[in-house]
This record gives sequence, structure tokens and C-alpha cells, in this order.
Amino acid sequence: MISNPGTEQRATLGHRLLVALPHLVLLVVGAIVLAVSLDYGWLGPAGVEPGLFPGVAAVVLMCVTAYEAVHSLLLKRRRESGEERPGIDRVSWGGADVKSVALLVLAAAIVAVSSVIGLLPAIWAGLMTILVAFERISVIRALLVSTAAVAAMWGIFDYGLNVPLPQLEMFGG
Amino acid sequence: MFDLILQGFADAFTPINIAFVLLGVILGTVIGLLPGLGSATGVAILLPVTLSQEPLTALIMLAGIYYGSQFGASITAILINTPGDASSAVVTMDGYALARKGRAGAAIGISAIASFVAGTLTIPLLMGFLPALSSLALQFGAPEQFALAVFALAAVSGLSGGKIARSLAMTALGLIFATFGLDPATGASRFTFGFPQLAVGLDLVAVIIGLFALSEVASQAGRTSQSAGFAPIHGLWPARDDLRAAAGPVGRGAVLGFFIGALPGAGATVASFMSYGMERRISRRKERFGKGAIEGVAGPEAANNSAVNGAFAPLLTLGVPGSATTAVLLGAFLIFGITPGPLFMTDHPEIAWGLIASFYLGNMALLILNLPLAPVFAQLLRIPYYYLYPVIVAIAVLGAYATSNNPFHMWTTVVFGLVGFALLKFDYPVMPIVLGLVLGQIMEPALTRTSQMSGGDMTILLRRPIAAGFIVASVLVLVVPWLWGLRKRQTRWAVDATSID
Repeated sequence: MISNPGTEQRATLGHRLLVALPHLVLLVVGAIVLAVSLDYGWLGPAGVEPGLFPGVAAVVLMCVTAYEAVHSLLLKRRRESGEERPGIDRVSWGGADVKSVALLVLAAAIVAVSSVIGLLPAIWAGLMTILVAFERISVIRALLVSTAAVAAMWGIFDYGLNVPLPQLEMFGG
Repeated sequence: MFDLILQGFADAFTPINIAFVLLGVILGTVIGLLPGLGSATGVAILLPVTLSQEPLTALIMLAGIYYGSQFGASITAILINTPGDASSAVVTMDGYALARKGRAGAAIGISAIASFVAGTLTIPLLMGFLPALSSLALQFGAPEQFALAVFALAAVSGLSGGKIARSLAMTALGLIFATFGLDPATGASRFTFGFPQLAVGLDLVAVIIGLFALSEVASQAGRTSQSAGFAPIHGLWPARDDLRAAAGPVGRGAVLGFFIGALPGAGATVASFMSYGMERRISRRKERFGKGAIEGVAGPEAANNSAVNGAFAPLLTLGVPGSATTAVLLGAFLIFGITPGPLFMTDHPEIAWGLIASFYLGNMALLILNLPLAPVFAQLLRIPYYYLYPVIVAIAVLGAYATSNNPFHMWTTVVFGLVGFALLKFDYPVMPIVLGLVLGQIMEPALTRTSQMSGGDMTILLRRPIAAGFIVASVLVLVVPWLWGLRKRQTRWAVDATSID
């Protein structure tokens, strides 16, 4: 958990580094794109090469995130002036975020499993998992909600819109 | 032109189109009611539902979803003090105050009437502007197209409300994402990471569903679990005094909203906040604002709705979306094989005028159907969020697949859901990514053609008056707000230093 109450007067170096982390990550992304774009080439005899456009965008990304990272690392000065900006001076992670990330991981699991058991069964399993494991709803109620939701999705997408949903590959579908 | 307008009305007012605009407005209202899910998400998630229809019917329905979601977001803002969309955030100030006084019905009624009047007043404005803007756009060559896209992106960052650096970073990231796939000039493969599916680039709808729907729902799911409590809604038709007080703000908000909405990056959110600020400044009774002033609901709601009309002007004539929602709509046009731009009005007059005529249908549906049904829609807010969010996640994944029946797009949505969630946590705006992604696909070919035209001499951008105008405007729109913010900050530091001394 990263947090720093506004009452603190001086941010520690560790905290400042943690707050600067997202900017540094984007800085690294920009550096990688820049390196790859140089490989594609920027300007050639025929004019603009494939690397110019992503390369220039990467330079902009790097300049701006470097500016933001320096601001975050100079947090002490900002604090002393009493000014705070969310996301720079206040970055907090808590239990709610664990649930959010778990939900996104579960969405990834639904997609991964859909190629094996089919999309609608995977969604049904995902709904059951969220309702029972995340929200502690009774299995019967979760069954009713999940089944009704999946039936509605089948009705709209498969039956109504003729969308060919991924089927049960494990059973040769 | 008059014949084309009449033909547009004839095309729009068919039973099937009327049915679909009503469906769109209802579905949009439901999506708009859900906190955090705005019009961009609504249009993106429901796009697959329209794919089996004729292009005009599908686009009319999507426009209905756009209108409906704006209204739904306002209901949530008024009833539970939580805006369903950023553009309705300002309505919480006086709308919720009115609700706490037991006047939620009047606030919702004024919201619907203001939206209807503003929409109806500004549709003729849009009809007048489109041919003029199209003629101007016909003079645009590659340098002007490139400079216009630069201006649109600069405006997105410059008008971002104090987050210029972060918006610029996200715009650059969006431009990088736009280069995924084959280079338009040479056919060279870029940033495909070994996935052949990425050769055609990132799917816009899948990216938007991930960035807006999945990340936002994940964020809300961590915090909200109970249903919202609110008092019953009575008396949806406002009193005569309310209507009299709202007349001026609606007129001013409508005109302001239309022109602000036409600016790239500004859109409905900036329009509604500017309208609120203006009404408060010119009011003789400023002290009532924030405590339940009807003008504080009427002005922003009118501006919000007319900004939607304004946003269609650059989209249809220049092919430049000014907001995330119009970016999705651009994606929808392209799915149907229609390219908005200077030739759109002449190549597809039946779509152009039919769509614009349908805006009247959308506005009427809001007033005639949605206003009486507002108490019914509001009941959705009583459903505990823990039943709603799993279903929204499922629809998001399914929607990403169904747009083009491609399982890879589901992965795109999930990855961008994670990226969007992380960016939200660190207070990075995600809308500029979408506009960077869309406009990057216009900018890069325009840059290549500009370079070919000038033999690599990019000063051509400063030698052609229209292009130079856009470049100068781009610099101004970035530098002026930045200097303004810097000056305000320095003044604050100086005051702090004086008080410490």
C-alpha cells in the first residue's frame, strides 16, 4: 500500500520514488518505442520512413513523463508550499483495488477459458465466481442471476444478432 | 439543399428508424444511469447490436444512445449526487440540492426540457454549418489535414483542465498505439509483437470498451456494493416560475454548448461547466447557486445537449472526432464502409441528412418517452451494484468480440482494461489515448503525403495559410493554459511564502 497523509511535511525518498513510478514506467515505454522506431528508420531517400511518426510520439511521451517524474521527485518543495495534486502527492492503494485488479484478472480468465469451453459457458462461470467468491451471494441466487444473464446474452447475440460465438472446442465444437 | 433536408426527414421518420431511435434512447438512458459508464462506453458496448441493421438505422440508433446516455447520467447526478458521466458532474451541484429539498422531479423535468429545447434550437445551426464547413474542408490538402489533426490533439490536452502534461503524454501514447500494424506508406510491419491479428492495427471499439467500460467498472466494483437510496420522484413538470427562470440559461447554454462542442477536446463536459460558470457570474442572486438554483441545472443541461450536436460538425465534415464518443461513432461509420470527411455530405447525402433529421426524433423521444419514464429508470439505481457490475463486465467482453467476431479483440479489451485502471489510479486521463489512436491514423498518412508534396521540406506547414493557422492555434492552445496555470501557482506560492514569513 502506498499512501501519504497530507499532514506530513516531508516526503521520504522512497515515497517519492513510488509516486514517480508510473511516470518512470511511461518513460521506459517511450524509450523502448524510440529505440524500435530508430530501427525502422526515420528519414530515407524516399522521404518519411516507418519509424518517424512513432519515434516523434515517443520523444513527446518521454519529455512529458520526465517532466512529471521530476515534479514527483521534487515533492518536498511542493509539500512545503502546502499544495497537493492527486496522483502526484496522493497515491493510495487499498483493499478495494485488490478487488478491482482481481476482477480484471478474472475477465482475462474468462477470455482464456472461452477458447476451450466456449464463450457463454466461460461468462457463466465468471459470473458465478464474482457473485459467490467476491460478493458472498448465496449459490442459489448466484445461479439464478448468472443463468438469466447468460440466457439473455445468448438470446440477443447468438439468436437475435446471429453472432457466431466461440463454441465448445473441447467437445469438437 | 432544402430538398435534401426534406429527404433526410423522410428517410429518418420511417417506422423502423423511429423504433430504433426509441430503443437507442432507452438503452442509452439505462447505460447513462450507471455511475462511470458514459456515452462513449454506451455507444461502444451497444455497437454490435446495430451491426445487422442498415447503416442509417444503425447510426440513428447510436445517436439515440448518445442522447439517452447524457440524460441518464443527469438523472443519476440529480438523485444520488454521483454523475453518470463527466459532462453531468456540474449538475450535481444544484440538481442534488434540489433533490434534497424534495424537488428531484422538477430538476429532472428541467433537465429534459432544457435538453429538448437546446437540441431543437441547435439542429438548424448544425444544418447551416455542415455545408459551409464541408466546402471549406474541400480546400484541405495533406498539410491542412495534418495541421488540423495536430490542432485537435493539442486542444484535447490544452483544454483538459489543469492536466496538460498528463494529457499530452496520453495523446502521445495514443499516437504510438495508432502505429501498431502495417505502415500505410511502405507496408512494413510495426509493433505487432508476433501477433498476426495486430497487422491491421488495434481495434478501436475493443480499446474503448477496455479503457472506459472495463477499467471504470473494475474501479467502481472495488468501492460500491450497495444500491443507492433516494426519495421518490414527484412532479416532473416544473412550475411556471422554474420555466421562466430557466429560459435565459437554456438559450445561452444552447448557443455556448454548440460552439464549444464543435471544438475538439472540449466537448460536453467543458460546455456544461462553462455554462454553469457563466450563469453564476451573470446571476443577480449568486448565493443561490449550489443550493438548488434551477438555472444551475437548466444552463449546463442545455449546453451539454447542444454540445452533442456541435460535436457532429467536425466529425461529419472533417472526419475529426472531438470526443471519445464521436471517436466511437467514427469507428461505427468506418465499420459500415462510410468515411466521414469533406466528401461525406456529397457522397452520402441520404445518411448525412437522415442522421441529422433523426436528432429531432432523439430529442422528442427524450421528452415524450424518457421524461415520464424517469421514475421507472431511476428504480435501476436501487439494484445493488454487485448484481450489475458482473453483468457489465460480461457484456463488455462479449461486445468486444461481437463487433467483428474476433476473439483477439477480447484480449485487447482486457489488456486495455488493466492499462486504463492503472492510469485512472495515477490520475492520467484516458480520453486523449482514444483521440490519439483515431487521429494518429489520419495524421501519419497526411504527414507522409505532406513530405512527398514538399520534397521533405516541412516548412510547407507554415507556408500554407490554413495549415499555419492550425499550427499557431495548436501552440497557443497548449501554451496559454500552461502559462496561466503556472502564474496561478506562482501567485499561490508567493502568498504562502508571505504568510510563513
